[in-house]
Amino acid sequence: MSSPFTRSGRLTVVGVLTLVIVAMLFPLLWLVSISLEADGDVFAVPPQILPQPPTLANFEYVWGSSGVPGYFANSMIVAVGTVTANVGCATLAGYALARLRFRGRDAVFAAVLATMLIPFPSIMLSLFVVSKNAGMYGSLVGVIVPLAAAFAWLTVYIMKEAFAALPVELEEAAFLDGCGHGHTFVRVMLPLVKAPMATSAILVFTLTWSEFLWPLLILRDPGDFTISIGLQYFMSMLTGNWHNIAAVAVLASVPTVGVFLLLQRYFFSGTLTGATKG
Amino acid sequence: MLQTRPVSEPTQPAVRPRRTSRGAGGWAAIFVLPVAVLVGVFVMYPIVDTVGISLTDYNGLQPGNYVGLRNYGALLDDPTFATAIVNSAVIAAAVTVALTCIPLPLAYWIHRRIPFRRFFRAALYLPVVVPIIVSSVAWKVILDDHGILNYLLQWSGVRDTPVGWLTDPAWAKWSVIVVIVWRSLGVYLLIYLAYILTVPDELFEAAAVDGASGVRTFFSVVVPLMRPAILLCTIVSLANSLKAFDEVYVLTSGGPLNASKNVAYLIWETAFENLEFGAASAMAVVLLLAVAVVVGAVLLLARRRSV
Repeated sequence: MSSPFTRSGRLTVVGVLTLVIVAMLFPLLWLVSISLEADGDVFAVPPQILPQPPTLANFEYVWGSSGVPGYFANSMIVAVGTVTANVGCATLAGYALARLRFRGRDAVFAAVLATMLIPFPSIMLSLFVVSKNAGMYGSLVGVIVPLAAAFAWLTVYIMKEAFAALPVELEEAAFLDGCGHGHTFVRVMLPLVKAPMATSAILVFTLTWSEFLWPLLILRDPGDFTISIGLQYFMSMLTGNWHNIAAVAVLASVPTVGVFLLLQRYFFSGTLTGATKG
Repeated sequence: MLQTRPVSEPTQPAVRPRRTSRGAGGWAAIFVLPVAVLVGVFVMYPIVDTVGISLTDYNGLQPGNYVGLRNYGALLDDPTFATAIVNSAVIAAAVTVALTCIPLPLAYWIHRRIPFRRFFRAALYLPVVVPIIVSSVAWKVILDDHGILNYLLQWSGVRDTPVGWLTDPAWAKWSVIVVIVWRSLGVYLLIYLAYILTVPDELFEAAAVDGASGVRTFFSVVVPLMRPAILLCTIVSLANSLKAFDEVYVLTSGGPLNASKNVAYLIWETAFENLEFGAASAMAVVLLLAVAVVVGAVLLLARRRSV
C-alpha cells in the first residue's frame, strides 16, 4: 500500500507533526541543555539555548558528592523486586485464567481488571496503615509489594491474552504424553510466552521506576529513597541550583528512556492490541 | 468388522475440550492464589478499610473513635473541598477532551505510512517513560515567571508582562492540565495505534477512492471506525485525570490559593500534613464514588447511543 496522501497533503501532515514533536521534545531537550551548562543563570535574557562550552561537570559533581548512587541502587532494587513479584504472579494467573476451567474464573479476571479504575489516592491511606502494621513502613519491601499489586491488572491482562492465543493442541499433546498441569505449564507453555513476559516486565519496570506518590508516603530515611524521591529531596535542599538539579534529573531518566529506545518494539508490539476489543 | 460401523456416527468429537481442564480445580487455585492475595490484600481490602476509617476520627497515631457520618457532613461545609471538587472536574474534563481528541489524527497519520513514522511514534511516546518528577524540573524552569516561555512571549510581542503560569491563580490549573496532557499523550496514541491495526485498511482506502477529502474521510470514516478505542480512551483518561496527584504536587503544591488543588492532592494534604486520616478517608470514598459514577455514566451513554 502506498501512502494515501497527496504530495501537498503529506507535507501538511509532516509539518503539523513536526510542530507537535517540537512541543513534545522541547522540555526534555531544554533540561539536557541546562544539565550540560557549567553555571550561569538559567533565566538569563536572552536564554542560552546551547551550553557553551558543554560540560559534564554537573554530572561528575552530583554522582560523586550526593546520595544519587544510593538512590539509583534503591530504585533498581524496587524495580527488580516489583517486576519479579508482579510478572511471576501474573504469568501464573494468566495461564489459569486462559486455560483452566474453574468456578468464578470470569469473576476473578473481571475483578482484577477493574482495579485499573480504582484511584490510588482513594486507597493510599488504608494501604499506608496496612503496610505500617505489617512492619513495611520505611522499607523497600514496603514499596515493592503494593506496587506489584497496583500494576497486576495490566500484566494479568497481557499474560491471559498471551496464553489464550496459544493453540490448544500443544497442551493436549503434552497431556497425551502423560504430563501433568505443572509440567505442561513449565515445559510447554512458558517458553511460548517469553515475549509477552518481556513486554510485561518492561512496562512494569518503567512504571515502577517513575512511581512517585507511594514511595513518597512509605519511605522515611533519605538512605532508602528511590531516585524519584531522591530528586525531590535534592531539589528541596538545593533550591535554585538548577544545573545540578537538571543533571540528577537527566540521570534519573536514563534507565527508562534507555529501555524504551532500545526495546521499542516491545512497547509497540501489538501485545496490547486486544486491549481495545469489545 | 470396522467397516460395519456407520460412518456418520460421531466418534466422540467432544473429547477435544476447548479449554483443557482435566483435574484443573486444584491447579487453578495454586495458579490464581498469588495474584488473588496480592490484589485482595493491597487493593480490595483497602477500599473496605477506607470506608471504615472514614467513620472515625483516626489521626494516624492513636486508634480512632467512631463518629458516624460526621466526616462526610463536615465535607459539605468545607469550602476547600468544594474548590477541590471543581478543580478536579475541570482538570478531568479538559485533560480527557485533549487526550481523546489530539492523539486520534496523530495515530491515523502515523498508521497511514507517512515518512519518518517510527521516529514520530517514538518521539510522541518519549515523555511517557520520563519520570514525572524529572519532567517537572524541566517544566518548572520553562514556566517560571522569568522562564523561556515568558521570554518568547515578550520577545515576540504577544505579551508585555510575564505570565505567572505557576504563580497566578488564573493560570496554575491550566499549566497542570497542559503538563498532564503532554506527559500522557503517548499512552493514548498507543491505544489508538493498537486498535487501528484491527481495522481493515480497505475501509480507509474505500473512502479515499470515493474521492472524500482528508478532513471528511477523517470525520465520516476514521472516527466512527475508531469508536471503541475512543470510548476506552475516554474512560481511561477520566479515571487517570481524576486521580492526578504527581503533577499538582511537583508543579504547584495545589497553589496558589488552592487554585490548582484537586481532591487527590487534598486527600494527601489532609492525611499526611494535617494528620486527619478520618476526614481524608471520607474524601477518598467520595473520589472513588465519583470515578465509579463518571465511568458508569460514560458507559451508559455509549451503550444508549450505539443502540
